[in-house]
Amino acid sequence: MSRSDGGIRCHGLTKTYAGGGGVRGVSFTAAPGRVTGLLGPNGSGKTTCLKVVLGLAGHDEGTATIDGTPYSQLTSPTRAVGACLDVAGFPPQHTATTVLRSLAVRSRVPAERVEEVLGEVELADVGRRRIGQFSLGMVQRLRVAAALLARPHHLVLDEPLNGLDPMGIQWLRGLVRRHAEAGGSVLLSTHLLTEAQLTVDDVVILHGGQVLAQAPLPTLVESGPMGAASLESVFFALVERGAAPPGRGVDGAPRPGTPMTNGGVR
Amino acid sequence: MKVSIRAELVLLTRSRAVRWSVVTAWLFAAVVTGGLLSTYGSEQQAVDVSTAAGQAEVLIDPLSGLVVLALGVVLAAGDFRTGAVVWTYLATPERWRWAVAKVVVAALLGAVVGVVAELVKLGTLAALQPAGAGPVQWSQGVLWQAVAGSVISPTALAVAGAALGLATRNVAGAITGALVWIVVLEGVVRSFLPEAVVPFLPHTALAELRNLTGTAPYAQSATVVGVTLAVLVAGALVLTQRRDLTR
Repeated sequence: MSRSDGGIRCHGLTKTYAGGGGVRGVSFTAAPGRVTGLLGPNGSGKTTCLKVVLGLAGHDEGTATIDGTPYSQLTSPTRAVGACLDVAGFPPQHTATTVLRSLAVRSRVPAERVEEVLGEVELADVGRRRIGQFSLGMVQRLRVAAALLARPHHLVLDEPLNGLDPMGIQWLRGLVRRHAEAGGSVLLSTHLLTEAQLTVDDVVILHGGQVLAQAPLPTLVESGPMGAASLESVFFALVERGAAPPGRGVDGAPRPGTPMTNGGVR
Repeated sequence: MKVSIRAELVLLTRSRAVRWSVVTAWLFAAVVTGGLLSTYGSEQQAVDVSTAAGQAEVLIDPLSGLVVLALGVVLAAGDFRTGAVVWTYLATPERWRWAVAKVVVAALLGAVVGVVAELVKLGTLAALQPAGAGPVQWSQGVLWQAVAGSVISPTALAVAGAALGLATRNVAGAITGALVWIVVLEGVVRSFLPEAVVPFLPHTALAELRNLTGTAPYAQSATVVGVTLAVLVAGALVLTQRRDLTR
């Protein structure tokens, strides 16, 4: 693996659905040691990108790799990437411990790790309770536990804040930050722009299946409309413009070191 | 493959719904067989065990068959309904391994239900036969053929259920489809086919294995059931490997 292959990369990714939608020529990188926010309105292609990256959906063109290797060819996929997806659920009749034990077997992780990871997500006390009795926030923590089970190098999180209370949000923010500081890539998809501004280092904005902008957060915010100081205002300016060519700033002009289309973000 | 099977067994052995369904099938076997024997008059001097076993099967096999068919479907399609399949696909990108594990575990479940239901039935027959009845003729070949059929039948139905569950990814759809075929469609198709072709219909062949009609060679029926299952499972594996996750 060359240095440039590190992290989670999409290059020229195109995926079309029979009923329309999908993504076209999407390129971005979630670099090691950075938290990359994948932002966009509903239907912009965020989940499609994540599914393709994680081998859950095929694609028509382009590449999606984890440390230079497509997900389907990873020898220990759950050790390479821990994924917490909104679409992933659990059988309600089972306990959290049972479900994680089954996942531990699949991921070739020692059974002791189950109790440990339940402790990490603060669910140790309810590990033997049926998942059907869990609150939304507890299910979300269990998703994170499943993602962390095999001690993955990278993290892919799809709407990870759904259902979390303020303490949970703070906890997840810390977890994401620590993971990046330990050298892993974190690719985080969210609708919550204020939260994204507090958490991410780099931003990729998708709209209509294409990358509208990608840049380090401070650079992107600086490129915003007059007086803009928030990711939210930049986001709305970009999305309202909609068809602004990728690689351009919010005002439509190319900006050195700002939105790029070749997958580089730094 | 072993890893996938072990992971499935972790879930299966901790499922209360599965345990209750299986126990219900076994209790039903005991109750039906005991009830059947109680209808035998005390004047009857000997109980033909193979006849009694055959009569009990008529009642027991549909229920145990329905139970394992439904369990096979739920075992496979239930993961799609709950979204648990996402975790499986993430841990096992070679999805066919997981799909084969589902089929293997369904087969094990079907076999366990079949074997124990059969033991319960034969044990009840031996224990409750009327006083004065002659010794049970355990050496009867027909009896053992029926026993084998009664084990193969739930095993095959569980495998078919798992394959249908994988292919449709829909619990209600798969169970309804299977029941419509078994109860309605095969009967309709049968009425349009020449008599010589009828034993090659899958559910008819399965009934032949249980020796309920006894008009087709055992090996022929076994082959028809085996080929049907092979086609169903192969189709399910191909679909599982190729399809996108649509949740």
